[in-house]
Amino acid sequence: MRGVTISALLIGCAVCCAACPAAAYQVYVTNEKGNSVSVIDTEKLAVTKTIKVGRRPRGVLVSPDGKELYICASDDNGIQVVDTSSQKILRTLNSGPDPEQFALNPSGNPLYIANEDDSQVTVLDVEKNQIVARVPVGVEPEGMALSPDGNVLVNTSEVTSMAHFIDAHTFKLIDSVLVDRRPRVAVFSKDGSQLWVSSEIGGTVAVIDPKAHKIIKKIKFDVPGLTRQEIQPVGVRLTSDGKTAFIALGPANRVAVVDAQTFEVKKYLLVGLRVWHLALTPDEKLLFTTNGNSNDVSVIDVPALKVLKTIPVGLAPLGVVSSPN
Amino acid sequence: MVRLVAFGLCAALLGFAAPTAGWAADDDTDWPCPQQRTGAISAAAVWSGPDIAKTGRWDDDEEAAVLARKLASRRTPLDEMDGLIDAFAAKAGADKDDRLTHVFAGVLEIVNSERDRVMAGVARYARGQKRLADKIRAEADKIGDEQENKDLSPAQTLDLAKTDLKWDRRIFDERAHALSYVCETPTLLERRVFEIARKIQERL
Repeated sequence: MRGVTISALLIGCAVCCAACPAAAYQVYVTNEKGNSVSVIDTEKLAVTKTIKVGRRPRGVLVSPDGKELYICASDDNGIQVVDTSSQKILRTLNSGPDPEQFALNPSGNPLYIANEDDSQVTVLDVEKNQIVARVPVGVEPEGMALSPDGNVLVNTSEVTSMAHFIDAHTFKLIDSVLVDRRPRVAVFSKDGSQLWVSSEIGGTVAVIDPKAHKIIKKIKFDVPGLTRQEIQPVGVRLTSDGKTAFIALGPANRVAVVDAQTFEVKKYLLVGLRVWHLALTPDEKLLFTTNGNSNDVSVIDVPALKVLKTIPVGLAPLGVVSSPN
Repeated sequence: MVRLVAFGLCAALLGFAAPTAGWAADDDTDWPCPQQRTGAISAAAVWSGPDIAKTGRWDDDEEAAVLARKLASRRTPLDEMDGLIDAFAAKAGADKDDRLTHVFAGVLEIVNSERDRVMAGVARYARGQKRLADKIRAEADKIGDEQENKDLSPAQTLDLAKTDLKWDRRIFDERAHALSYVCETPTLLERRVFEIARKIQERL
């Protein structure tokens, strides 16, 4: 009898899943000039809420349980913590000056923050709101990433054009790798075997072996009809199977789709004006892009590699993150 | 003392320019906007449809040219465009894609020429502000000199400053306030072309 009930439940669940092809996630977009966060429902593909936050919101992250949102309010020199269910600002964290981008430990604590004006990385205990360490790095630190095993922290410095490798336990600098000009975003592959770093002015993406600290491949982009100066890679996302990478190309208004095994560019998708950052939903069916000059977000169907929809948001959208559930 | 008052006035006047104008740091000294000065909007930046160089002159296709002019006009609201493009596409016949490409090529050319005029206007405006800033500086110096010679009090110096200097300051200030809008105009035009291009591409 019990077996029958369980089977019925399983069948019922299977039917339900077939009826709803994608789970609904919330995608959070920071509007740098709108001083707000737009909340997009991935089933409706529309903005369902707008949250007023601090001045010049840029980087955005969500806690592993999806309950809290962390927002770099750069001009307020703090990181605001927002309750995702009530949309209220719960507290402001002691981030150090001008926080721009950051990374969160997969356990939910600590937070690793790039302080652009201060040439340092701040490690912050989120629960106690206490600074654990300050690590001096290159000039204008920007991109932050933590290796999947939690052992290595990577920061990119815009002016010094380097990816800095930092021991995530002792917070000592291990090594630095020179990349092309103005590195903006660093992302590890899910298995930790590669680190992808975008260089905005250099117009390239460096794929680095994070153990040997050597560049394996430098990816270049060529969009017919556009000059090299118009191609400015910033946002990077990799699918968890390690097969596909998406690179946002700034004023080229396109997202490049790269085969992450051969490093060949497969396709360019026209999205919106000045595309900055990217976020994949946890099921990796949808990719969201922030288009800073057209004040909207493009939604890309990942299996079909097609732009599904454009959603108007606030002024100058920049950061984007999807809820984990 | 008098010189100090005059200098203070001058600094206060010029101070109005600093936060709003945001003069670009490159050697393009006639460009007053924080936004980078860029060349014409290229087709490739906003369009991934057929190559506009291979579909023939857009103004040889009369109906496409009429629609292009209508879409490019600021008097046509964005929400009316879908209906206009749909109506054109329905009657466009077998070479619909080429003809829609003509419409896009027309819009791009018209908006780019409008954008050129705006950019030239912005540079002219910046030169005018610089001349005015020089004049304000000279007026402040003149007041300083005059007051030193006549040995007048700071209050009398301020009275004197309320003439030409006051008017120039007002013009300068108003223009500086308008600058952020003026600087946004090239971006607004780019946004409009992008929006129209997107609507046309959806119908290819």
